Amino acid sequence: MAFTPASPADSPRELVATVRNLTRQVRVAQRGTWFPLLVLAAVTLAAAPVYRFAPRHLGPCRDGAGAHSVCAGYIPAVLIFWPLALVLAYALIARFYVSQARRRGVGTRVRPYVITGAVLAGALAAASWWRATHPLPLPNTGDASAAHPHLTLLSFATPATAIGLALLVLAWVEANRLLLAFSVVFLGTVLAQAGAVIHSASRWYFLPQLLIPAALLLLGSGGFALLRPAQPKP
Amino acid sequence: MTNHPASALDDVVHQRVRLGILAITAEARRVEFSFLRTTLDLTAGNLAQHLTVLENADLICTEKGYEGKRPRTWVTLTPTGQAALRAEISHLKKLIRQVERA
Repeated sequence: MAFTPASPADSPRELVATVRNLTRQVRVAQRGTWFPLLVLAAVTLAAAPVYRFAPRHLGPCRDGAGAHSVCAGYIPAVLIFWPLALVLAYALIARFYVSQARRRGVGTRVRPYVITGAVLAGALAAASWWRATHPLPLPNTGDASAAHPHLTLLSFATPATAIGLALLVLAWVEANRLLLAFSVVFLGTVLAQAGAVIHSASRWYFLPQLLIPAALLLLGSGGFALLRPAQPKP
Repeated sequence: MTNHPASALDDVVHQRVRLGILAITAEARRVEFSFLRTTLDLTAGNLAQHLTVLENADLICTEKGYEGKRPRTWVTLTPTGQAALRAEISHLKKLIRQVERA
């Protein structure tokens, strides 16, 4: 609906409709959804060499029945990579939105998204560190700690879920229903992945955990870039 | 004195262009002159006149500066402007309900 300047007989309904239409135009001008999705996909893909080539450490072990014991294995570089990469990504995203706001001439509402993303990156770092320094419960042995809800929760504390939760905040600040739908699908997928047990001796065992979220983010980025309306030149 | 919602409408805010300026500024938090001009399809002179009316009524404040070498004017809503916009929309909705009931 195009804006029609001053008409002497504006009905209340027309005025309210005009306000809604202008509000929608501002929201569309403030959106830059394709960029965070692209940056976060790039960060997710950049993690692959760290998982593959960085040295592994053996964490605390717990002796089970017979000759079995369960040890927590972790990659120290991964513990550093994710919080650092995510915080840098959110700084880049904030810079993009501020620069876009200047170019388009409308303010930006990206701050809650960036703050949430950075806080979740910190929480993820804490959860990953705790997991690496505490012994894992023994599976199929009636180990009481296996049933602790905090352990189940910790298994869902992955970089992809941190990205997905922050995307829900972006959907809210951008008032973007399509992004909300995308975020829900993304979160559902990565939560299902996080709950799955990987039985693999391959050194590339981690690839599905990175490639699936990265592919979803790239697809989303491409889709939102295609749906982006042309901005009027000032 | 009548209780009809139309009597509560503020002439400064009720004007279609000025209501548009307030609505855009409220949503954008901070908006540049050229965005308002393009979105509202106004001439620079016409927009400047409406901005002056709103600024004199303490509903908006303008800030002039430079983006590189380009002069820019940024518009923000004052707390009075936010309250006036909320009141205007509330009165308009009341009017719509009243018309629908009649």
